Amino acid sequence: MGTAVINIFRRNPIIFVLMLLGLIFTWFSAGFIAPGNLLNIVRQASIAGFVALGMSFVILARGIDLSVGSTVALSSVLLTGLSSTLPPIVGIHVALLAGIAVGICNGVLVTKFRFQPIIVTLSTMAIVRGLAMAYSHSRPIFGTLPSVYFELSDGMIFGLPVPMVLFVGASLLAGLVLNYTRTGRQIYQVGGNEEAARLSGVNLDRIRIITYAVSGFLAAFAGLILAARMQSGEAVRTGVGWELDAIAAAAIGGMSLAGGAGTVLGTFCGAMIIAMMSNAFNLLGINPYWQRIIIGVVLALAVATYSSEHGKAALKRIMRLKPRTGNIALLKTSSDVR
Amino acid sequence: MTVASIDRPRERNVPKPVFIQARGITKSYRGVKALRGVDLDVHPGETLAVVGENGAGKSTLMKILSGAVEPSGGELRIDGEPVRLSTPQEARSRGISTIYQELMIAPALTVLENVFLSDLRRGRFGLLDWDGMRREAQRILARLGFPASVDTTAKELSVAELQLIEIAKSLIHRSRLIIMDEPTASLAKEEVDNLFRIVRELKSEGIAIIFITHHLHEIFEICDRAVVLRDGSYVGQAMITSLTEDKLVTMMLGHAISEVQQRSSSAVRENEVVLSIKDLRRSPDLQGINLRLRRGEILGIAGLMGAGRTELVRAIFGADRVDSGEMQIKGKVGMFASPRAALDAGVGLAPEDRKSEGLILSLPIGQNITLPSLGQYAGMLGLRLGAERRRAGELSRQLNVKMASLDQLVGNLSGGNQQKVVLAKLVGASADIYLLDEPTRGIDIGAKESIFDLIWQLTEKGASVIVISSAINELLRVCDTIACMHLGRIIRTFERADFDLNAIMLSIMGKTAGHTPNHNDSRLEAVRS
Ligand SMILES: Nc1ncnc2c1ncn2[C@@H]1O[C@H](COP(=O)(O)OP(=O)(O)OP(=O)(O)O)[C@@H](O)[C@H]1O
Ligand SMILES: [Mg+2]
Repeated sequence: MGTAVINIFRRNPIIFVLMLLGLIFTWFSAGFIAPGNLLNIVRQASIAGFVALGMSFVILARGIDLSVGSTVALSSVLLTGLSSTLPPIVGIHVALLAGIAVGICNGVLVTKFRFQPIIVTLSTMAIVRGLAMAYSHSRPIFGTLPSVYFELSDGMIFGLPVPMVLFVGASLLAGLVLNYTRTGRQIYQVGGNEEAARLSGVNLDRIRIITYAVSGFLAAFAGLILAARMQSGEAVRTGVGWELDAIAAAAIGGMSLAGGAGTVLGTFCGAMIIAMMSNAFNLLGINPYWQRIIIGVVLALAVATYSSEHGKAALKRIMRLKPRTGNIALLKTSSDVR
Repeated sequence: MTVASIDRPRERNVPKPVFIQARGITKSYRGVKALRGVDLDVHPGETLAVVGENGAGKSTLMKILSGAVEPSGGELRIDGEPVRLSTPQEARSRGISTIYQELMIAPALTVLENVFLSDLRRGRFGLLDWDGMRREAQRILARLGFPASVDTTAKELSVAELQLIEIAKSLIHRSRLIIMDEPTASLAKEEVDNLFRIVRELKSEGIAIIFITHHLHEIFEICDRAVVLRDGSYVGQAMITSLTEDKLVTMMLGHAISEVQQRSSSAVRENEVVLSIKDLRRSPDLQGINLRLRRGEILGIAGLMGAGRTELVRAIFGADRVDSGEMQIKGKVGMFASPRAALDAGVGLAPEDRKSEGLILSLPIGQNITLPSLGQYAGMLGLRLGAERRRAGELSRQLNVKMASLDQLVGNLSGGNQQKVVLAKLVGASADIYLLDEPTRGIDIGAKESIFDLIWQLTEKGASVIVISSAINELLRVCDTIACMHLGRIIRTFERADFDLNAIMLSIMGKTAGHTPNHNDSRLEAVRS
């Protein structure tokens, strides 16, 4: 048991950074540690955290999903828009299904058509944002959600904010899936070495599509809570730039963008750190421009630290050659003839 | 200077000053002691063999000499002067170049760009001097017997040719020591001969070579002196002239190798054909393969590089699509749609290249071993980790994997031990048709015996095995049948009763049956020796 805990810390040195930052911010700003403020941070971190969690699945399988921010927006306008005529439960289902559908589209384009993930999701990012704007005529949708849905973002269970409880629950579930199910393990395997995974019987396409679907689903979920919190849906500004925060949370949490390495706990901490920093900077009255700059620097520092290990692994993977000499020998004779 | 020097003085009468002196080198990785106080001297112009079992610490010691890894303790002197080599650049600037077990070549770049990868030359105006570099690369590569143009992209080249690029790289750095870590593990016999020719030529110019191999006969062919490591410790050294293969093995293992085992009897069940293939084609590698595998049979596939051996087993396994052909496996007709389908039908493949196809280096040993058989541990509530771990432990012991724990990353294992993990994976998948592509590559002689044993045990339990090996003497030992492949065809098949080394050699070179051996054929001589 003791060694298990030590191993968790060893695999996730980011936990120490999280604690250290907490102490520093408390030192500089008395307001930081106030219960109300902490709850605020946690609520903030949780909503963005769902997106980061989904992104982690995709990154672990060596992909990337830039469409998440648009999916958040689509989900928020679908829920609020549909709720004007139908019970909100319908809107919730439609929004979540739409998120999954976006993910499956991404997955199918990446696997069956072999397009590059960054290009595919860049296109769906634009398309989905466009759909959300078309649906809402680019206008905010107010006052359609019954006020009980406010509880989804501001309510408390066990003395904790609902989004927090949901986020912790989702993270635990994600951790269990990744470590204790076959599909979860296969996600690491595909990210670690695609060809070895394939030759060991892993269905690469299935795994990839699943990761994008999870990402789409969780982004849509974040959109629901955001809509509940704002009591409105909006397509133009909602979720803009969230893909970057999600990638940053995963990277700060130690996830390797080369795939196959990283933990949910790391991403969890990464999301907390990002929310904590922007909150503390607000309290300290630091200019928003500076905030972005500092977050950028932190991200660069984090990546530089990890890349001493992961970066090398990625480089090796790129440099590695397949000595499939058979084909080559034949190729050469034919090109010599020409 | 461009002529290969034929004479090779085996004895060094004149004592030369020591080039490198390593004393008490230690290295530990989180408690794992890879090296425990190793001494090593390298003299100018000598060809030094460093030998030892898998995991003895050979590669680690080489990484320390080449600046890739920093030692935990000990002292390193070059020309008598204490040095610290903390980066490969430093080692290179002191005249030490290394050709690693895994070649470090950028596949998308051309030969020329690769040769000058770390040492681009500038000419006038600070621009790159491509003409000068091209001339120099051409000169050096011609001398090495490199067949292709310097503008070929690296990914089109064979392993042997890539090695020549690595050697060319070390020559432009004017190296005084070239370290070669298992350079012959994936070379064909003629390529080995070309490499040895180069080694002798370098030696005559006073360049020292450290040579690591598990093919002990190569040491007797090319080296002057051998240094033996065991479990990270220095065991001893000897001049090759005063050694025999048995003595060397005893030094390596700490005891003499047990009598070479022979198999008592064949386990082939004559009338039970488990796999038959008719006219299998995949352009351009497979040109109409016909093959039949019986229950309990060990079928060896012999052939030169480019004969299509790897492509054949990959096609059987469903890893690559085929153009046409018929396959019948255990009564069912048709090719496998995917490796998963093959595994489900009880067919397993140990691929040729363990790093890129066999293992997931970023995952622990335990998870790699259960990779193809993970479904066996899937329970109602997720994976049964206890059962998985127990089985992984059993398999790693059965294959004799030398490791600190199952949680160690497989990428940190020594090359030979990684190969054992590839085989452990396969045994765990409980197949009954095994396709083994070069299963003994990089494996020490002791472990090789246990792998042969394992193959025999499997067939006694009713499994069938197809083995690819470039070492024909291994095939002669383990197989019931040997099929000779040449340019995508099986041109002749030998049953154990009429195994004939000469006839097999001729067949793999495409000489038709009945052709009398031509003793002037230099290629034949090369392969036979
Ligand atoms: N990065 C690492 N982390 C942990 N252990 C390591 C690492 N690198 C090497 N080792 C361990 O050090 C020991 C020596 O490994 P090394 O690669 O030097 O063996 P080797 O003699 O080259 O074997 P082989 O013949 O199989 O190539 C092994 O037990 C290996 O597991
Ligand atoms: Mg080695």
